[in-house]
Amino acid sequence: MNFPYAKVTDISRFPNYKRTLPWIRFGIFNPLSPKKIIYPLGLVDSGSDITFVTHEIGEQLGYDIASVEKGEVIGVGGGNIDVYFHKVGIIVENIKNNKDLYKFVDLIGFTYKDFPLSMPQQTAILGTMGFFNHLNVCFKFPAQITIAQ
Amino acid sequence: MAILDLSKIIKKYTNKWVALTSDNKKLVASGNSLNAVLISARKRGIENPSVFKVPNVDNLLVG
Repeated sequence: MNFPYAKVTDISRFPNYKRTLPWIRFGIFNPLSPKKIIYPLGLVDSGSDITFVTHEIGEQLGYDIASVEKGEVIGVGGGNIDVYFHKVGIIVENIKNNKDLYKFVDLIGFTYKDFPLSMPQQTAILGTMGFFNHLNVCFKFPAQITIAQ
Repeated sequence: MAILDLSKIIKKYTNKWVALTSDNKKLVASGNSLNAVLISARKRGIENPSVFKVPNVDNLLVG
């Protein structure tokens, strides 16, 4: 299934250039209560070892985020951030065609605090663990991101 | 495939949460928390909105 790149800003100094990023809509749920699904827009980031998501989404899904041992992610917006690993369900779907749907369960990190403000993504980073290890992802910049399982 | 243009929303709602229709084409709610925008979107009949916290996209990043 194909997803468009997202234009997030014009680059004012260079009028003919725009900043486009691979942000996609995906679903996330707690396997203990799978009917409640949140659909964030997250950055598909092949440079991230893990998938991590802001604490507000974890709280919505009923996770006691800090109840497990924390880990540290280095290089987030030029700094570090603490994450807490929990098992979640991830859904990638084509909203135009309900037959195209990939679903899996894996460990991801929830942050306990907000992402560093220096980071141009404040919601979700889709990295190797929790995303790329389940899917085949092809970046065709700037036309589309193609995802298959 | 046409680019999804979020630039106007991002410019106007930096550091806020926003909710869009499930096809990402229309803004349906904005607020200071995820919970607030989910409640607002559902009041407008959008059960499964796309949501994100609007970042500052002026920072260019390598990594």
